Amino acid sequence: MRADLIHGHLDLLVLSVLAGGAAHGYAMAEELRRRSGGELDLREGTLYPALYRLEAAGLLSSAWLQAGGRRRRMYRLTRPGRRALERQRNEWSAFARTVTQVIGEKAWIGPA
Amino acid sequence: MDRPSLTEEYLRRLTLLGRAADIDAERLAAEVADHLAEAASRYRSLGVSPEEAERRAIEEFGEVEDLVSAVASCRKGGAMARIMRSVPMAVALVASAVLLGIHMDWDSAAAGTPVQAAVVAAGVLLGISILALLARGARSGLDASSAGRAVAWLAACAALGTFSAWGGRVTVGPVHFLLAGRPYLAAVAFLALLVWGAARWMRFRVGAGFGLVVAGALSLLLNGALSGDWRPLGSIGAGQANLGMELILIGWLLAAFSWIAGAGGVPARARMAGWLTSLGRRLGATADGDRGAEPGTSL
Repeated sequence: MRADLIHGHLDLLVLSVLAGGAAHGYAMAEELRRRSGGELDLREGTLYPALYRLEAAGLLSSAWLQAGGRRRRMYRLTRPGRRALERQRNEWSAFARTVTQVIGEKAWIGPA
Repeated sequence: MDRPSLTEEYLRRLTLLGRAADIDAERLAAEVADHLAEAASRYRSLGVSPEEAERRAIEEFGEVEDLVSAVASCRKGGAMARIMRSVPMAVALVASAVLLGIHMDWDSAAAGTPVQAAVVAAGVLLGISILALLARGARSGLDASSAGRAVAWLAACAALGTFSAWGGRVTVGPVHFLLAGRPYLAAVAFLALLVWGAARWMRFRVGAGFGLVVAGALSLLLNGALSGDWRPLGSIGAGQANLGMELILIGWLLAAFSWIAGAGGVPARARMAGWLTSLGRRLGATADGDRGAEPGTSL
């Protein structure tokens, strides 16, 4: 899947992954890969600006954890983050439904 | 000397560029180091050589320049987020200024007047904003290894605040004890040094100054409590309220100096240099103009 298609929805993807519990950057990248069956193939570094942006907006909180001799930053959803996730999920569902109605389920086949 | 590994070189560039872009480069580098180590470890477990594992992990992660510029742009964006970040600090500064300003003229006649209400409000706001700043610091900068150092710093602040609120008088039954004058001030100075040492130990750049502010606020809160004459916020003319005020004033000045001298003050220093340069140019232009206007000067 093209990276520019993913980036517009990265915030929603990150919030969705964190709905399952606190995680660090690498674990989030792995979880995105796993849930998408390898389809979401983004530069892993692009996750961090999204995490910083969401944290600055108060949707995530983070804290250091010591793990295996390394410092690890763990992120978790805040209460406003959960509300934002719910809202964005609804918006996405409505958007996807509308676009599918317009282009048709099998529009990818193209005109005969 | 060994050549730095690909990851070390990547992190070195990330730190340098991050500092230049005025982002929290150390935090980002620590997070990226953990990420790259995990990714390389996954490749090694698939049988890839260590060097190749590092190379693939870095390639998957992306370019340093892209990462730093993306992080810098999301730090700069969001005016409301920036304002919200600075609210506790602004409230603490205004509340300190109110306490410092009103304290000078306050006497017992102020009881029950709006002046007293303003002092109480400023005291409460100072306490709340300090707690908010401490909570934010703990959330963003603490891990298990630095928690002990933070506790030591807080203990030093609490000791200084409590001691300076004490006033040096102890009465236990018929026994009176008074520690006053230079020995008392020397003890206060020693405790202030402990705050400074604890801040250095926990690598909290503005911790010495901010620690004095915390101690000063605690001193105002406990003013006279330990000598049986509790007058929170310095009920005026008695107790050690002046010492609390002085700790707050010196603390803010020290914190501001530490901040400007550190990495966080890079934009402020650059702006200051810009102002001074433009002021110098303007003064130079004025002097040239004055010279040009002198009679007999040919243009």
